[in-house]
Amino acid sequence: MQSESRRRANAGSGGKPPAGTAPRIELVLYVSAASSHTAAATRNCDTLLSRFDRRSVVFEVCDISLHPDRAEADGICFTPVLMKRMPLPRAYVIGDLSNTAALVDLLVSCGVDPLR
Amino acid sequence: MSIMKKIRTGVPGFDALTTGGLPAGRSTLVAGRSGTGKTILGLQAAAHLCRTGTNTIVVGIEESADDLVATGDTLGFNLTGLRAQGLLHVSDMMRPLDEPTIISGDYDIMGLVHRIEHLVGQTGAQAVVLDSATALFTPRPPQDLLRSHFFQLVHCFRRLGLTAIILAESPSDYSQLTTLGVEDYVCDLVIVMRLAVDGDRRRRSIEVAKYRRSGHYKGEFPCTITTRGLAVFPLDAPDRPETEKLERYSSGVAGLDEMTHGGFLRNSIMLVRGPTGSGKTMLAGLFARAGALRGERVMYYGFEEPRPTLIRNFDEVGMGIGDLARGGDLKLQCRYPEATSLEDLLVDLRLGLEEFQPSLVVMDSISSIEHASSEKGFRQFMIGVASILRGHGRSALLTQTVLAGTASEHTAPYLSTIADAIISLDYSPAGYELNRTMRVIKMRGSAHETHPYRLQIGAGGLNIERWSARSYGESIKAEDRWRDAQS
Repeated sequence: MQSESRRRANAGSGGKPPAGTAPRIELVLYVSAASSHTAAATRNCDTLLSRFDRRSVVFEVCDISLHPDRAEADGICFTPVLMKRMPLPRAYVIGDLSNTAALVDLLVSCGVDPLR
Repeated sequence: MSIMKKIRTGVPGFDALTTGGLPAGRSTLVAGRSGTGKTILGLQAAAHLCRTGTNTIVVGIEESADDLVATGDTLGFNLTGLRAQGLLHVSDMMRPLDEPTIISGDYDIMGLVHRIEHLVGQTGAQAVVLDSATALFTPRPPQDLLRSHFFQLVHCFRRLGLTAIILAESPSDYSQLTTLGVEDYVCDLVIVMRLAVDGDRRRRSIEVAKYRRSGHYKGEFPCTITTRGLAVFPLDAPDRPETEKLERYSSGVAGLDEMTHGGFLRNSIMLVRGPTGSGKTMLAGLFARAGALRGERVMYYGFEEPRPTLIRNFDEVGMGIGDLARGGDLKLQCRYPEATSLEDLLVDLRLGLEEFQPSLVVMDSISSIEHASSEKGFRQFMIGVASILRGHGRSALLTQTVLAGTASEHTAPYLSTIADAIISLDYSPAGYELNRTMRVIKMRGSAHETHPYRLQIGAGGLNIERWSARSYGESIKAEDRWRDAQS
């Protein structure tokens, strides 16, 4: 995993990829159709991400009730959980993201720029 | 009251303690401090469930799947084999320590619920062991959330028809049940495991704190962890016929047979009480010897002197114990109770009964055990001993040292109820002669003499005879002569 991320980081010309052309962060939002917190988490994520440069962000929502094996593989017990898959190390934000500070910190620390 | 279906765990003694095992399709909470044996109980039950047709999922949050399997394999549960056969599924839910986790807003436990549903669908499991709730809810959500999360989880187990064993950490042995403080409300069976400091020893115990819609044994019972896993005492009594014949056998001393109107009764426990030097060990030796000479197997536990000394002392009065011990029908086990734990002694006793199959057991003396343990520990030990003996339908003679002149006075109440017969040995050192006496204080199932008999120690061991007027008169005369000589 570590080496894969390094390869990807080095793929652009001149070593460092120009801002906005390659994703800087990969996020997975694990939710459950059976959870009452799903709507709030999805909404909070969308609202926040719309204020950032989406070209730098790979974002995916995973419904565990449909893909329990993915939760198994990523060690997810609670819902909702936002997992930072890339870059390593992984990080988890548990909860419906009603407090967006944690997510903002994640984005900024990975070099994702807020829009204007 | 509906009839509740129960599932046996196969943990020795546990199914008796809970009158049949775990509530089927319901949740059981096992609470205890770290090191009390919760995980072992969980794995041991899981292995038995798998072997008896109930596929089981073990969810490891505190330890990795491999570590759990290794723990079980070390204790002979063969988790590796059960896993390979597809009967056991170990799910690794340990959270990586190097990956940060932040809490932001409300959440629930549906992720785990879906995973359990998925695993049950895949494996056909009907039981689950969660090790542990404490680790699962770390970091700990606020109390109301925690309660609702735990309820969601138990509800999921219930919906899936799973017989669940949920392990949880306790902050201490005797205060709050669990650190989370919410688990017991929704569980039908609550087990508390303890490893309490007791004087300068540690004492393991297990207690059924609650069992919804079921009877159970109340209070703390001793348990131990052996190389074969957890064993609970004393409640492993196999079913025995309701009635038994009144069968007598010789006590090994003619006079005592006369006092008891024909000897001891089978399947009973005799307590011999007396001060030091009153002939208890001698009586124990004669009892053992008579049994071995009849061709019975006898297990003799000596707690007061090393084996060679014991044999020498017996042989010195012409009892020939040494030859019998070498012959194999009489097993002499000498040990110092200080050097071993009471639980291990119980394990020893039980293994001894199962492997050597003695019909008579001697313990000389239980006082040396009493002195090496706390009152509570000793009481648990004695109840354990009695239960093991009764469970196996064996007779035993136990000796107890008391102060001179107090042998027929009070004994600890639980000792009196354990003993089917109490024999007191005593002497009065006041006069010229050491007048030794023996008296039968009680004997369940038999009439007996109530007056004291005269006891003499000499060649061949003990001589017990009616306290005749003649012998009494002679000792009075001797005392008079002694007084005259003094003046």
